[in-house]
Amino acid sequence: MTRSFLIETRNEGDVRILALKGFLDAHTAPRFEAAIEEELRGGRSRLVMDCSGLDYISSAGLGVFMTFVDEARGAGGDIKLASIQPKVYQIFDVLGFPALFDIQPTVEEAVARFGSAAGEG
Amino acid sequence: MAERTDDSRLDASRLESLLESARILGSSLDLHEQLNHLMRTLMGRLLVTRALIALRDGDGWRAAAVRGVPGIREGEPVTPERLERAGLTLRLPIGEGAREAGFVAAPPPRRPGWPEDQSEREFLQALLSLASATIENALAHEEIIEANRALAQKIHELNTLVDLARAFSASIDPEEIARLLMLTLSGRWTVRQHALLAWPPGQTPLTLLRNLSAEEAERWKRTAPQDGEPARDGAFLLLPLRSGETSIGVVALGPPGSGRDYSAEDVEFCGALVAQASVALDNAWRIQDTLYRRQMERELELASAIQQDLFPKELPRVAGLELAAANRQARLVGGDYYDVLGAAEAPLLCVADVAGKGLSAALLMATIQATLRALLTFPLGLTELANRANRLLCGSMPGNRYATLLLARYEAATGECEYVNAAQCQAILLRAGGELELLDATGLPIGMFPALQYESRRLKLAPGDVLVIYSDGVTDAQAPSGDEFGIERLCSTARALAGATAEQICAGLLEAVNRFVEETPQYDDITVMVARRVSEAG
Repeated sequence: MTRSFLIETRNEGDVRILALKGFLDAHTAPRFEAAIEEELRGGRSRLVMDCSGLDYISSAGLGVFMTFVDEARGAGGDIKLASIQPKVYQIFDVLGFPALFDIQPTVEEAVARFGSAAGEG
Repeated sequence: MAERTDDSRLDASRLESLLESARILGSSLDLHEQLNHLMRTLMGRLLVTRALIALRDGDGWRAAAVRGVPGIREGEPVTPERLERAGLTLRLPIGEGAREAGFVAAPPPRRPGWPEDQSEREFLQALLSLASATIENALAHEEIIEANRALAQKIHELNTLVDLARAFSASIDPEEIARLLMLTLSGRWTVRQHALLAWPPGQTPLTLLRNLSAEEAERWKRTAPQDGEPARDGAFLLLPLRSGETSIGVVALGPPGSGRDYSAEDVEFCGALVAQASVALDNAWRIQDTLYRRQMERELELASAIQQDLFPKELPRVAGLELAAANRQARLVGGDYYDVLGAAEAPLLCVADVAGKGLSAALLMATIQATLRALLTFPLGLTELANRANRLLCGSMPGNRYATLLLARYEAATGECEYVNAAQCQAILLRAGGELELLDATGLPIGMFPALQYESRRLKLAPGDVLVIYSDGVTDAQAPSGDEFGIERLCSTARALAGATAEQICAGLLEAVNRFVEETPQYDDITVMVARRVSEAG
């Protein structure tokens, strides 16, 4: 059983938006890990995850956020989560992510949280 | 008349309050909201500035809503002593008897007429019994929410297990498996610092660190639990990686991001994930072992094929000289090479033994052959040939590689023979009359020092004389007892074969080695070359 997972990236000023689509599980997590790593290596540390298309996330997927959040913050950025479907949010919630991550209802709000520099790009 | 009016107004306000309360309490399942409403209503009716609502908590009571009461905070246990200290002497039960869900505590009301006002007491009783039903509903609702959360967590855990099992079964790369495990653990418990250290016997050790230095992690190699049970090291949870009954690694998890420590259930679930990964890692290592062995075997087969191709298909015919040679490859070690090169009037006999085994040894042999062939196109003396071959091979041999080599150039016209022995075994010269001479090394192996100048020696083969050149696989061949075939046995065997043809001597020597070793596995290549002068060249 292979379920697809796609990442689409775009810029919103100097904020990088990663739109996650499909199933982020142990099978697809390494790909996601590589994608975030590439962003950070490329000097892009202001990241917003658009989770509106994310249908499922496993612990391995959540582990990717844990892996890079300190690095992103250390580089002056952050990994913010936005637009999470209720079913998926429940997992984030149950595992205590809201205490550690900035989770916003919409991508726009998440981008705005990075402050005014975001719009100058 | 005025009193009656007051009474009816009061009644109306009570009725209104009850209706409003019924509406508000009935419209919400939020316990907090309900308690706030109840609190406001009661404080307003009793004219008190302090009040507390306590709800049943096991056998005792817990403060669920507190207003203006110093010394008692929401969530704390409520005892009669604490209420008395806080001056909350009025106690109004919510619900009755065994179904008492809680109570309201307040100081003596300042309401005029209290405590004789029976109507107000009845009103409050009605309000509280109304509240008791809705509070019970809200509590049940909270329980359901909590149960749903627990269920969601269980489902997530189950999914995690299935998810990992599927991913593990799809991978044969130990590092990938280890990374997935650590991703999953750090995601599940929001762990920032973690480490996986594995030291499987016969395999490359694995180290995955996150926000930890190698020095910090090093200590867990020593303190890793040996009994297979999880252990603690300060804030770190240590889980052993096992292969069968042996500890082959450890997973160390820093404190969860939630701030709550690992519960017994967490530790159990962690243990299950790590145990699952242990099995997957063990399998992956086994598979890598098998793959490595298979690759080695393929490489050896290839090397053997290359080596076979290097040997001459047939030896050249040389006037007045019988030539015979044989090689038996060992399975694992060996890099023997023999050849007869150059012109038939002055053939160059060579026997070489390349250090090492497998593909690299075979390629080195091919290089030696190509070098000698190329050099033979120049009119070079034997020592110069050896010097140049050595210099060229020094440049093309990797680091610690070298070869022993015996080169003998035979003059068919005269029977004279010049040889260079670059650390090859002592060749045997068996005279027709039965005397025996050993041809010692005249220099170091080739491929080590480019500036070496080789020396040569000369001898003359008379008719009936036999020259036996061989590799150390012959003299080192072992009998089951551990005894080696040795040079003396080789010499006496050769002597016993005196008078036979080169072909027969070659076969006889190999046959003697075969008999000697019986079933002992052959560890090194065995090469024998025999040259026997039969007559004056004509």
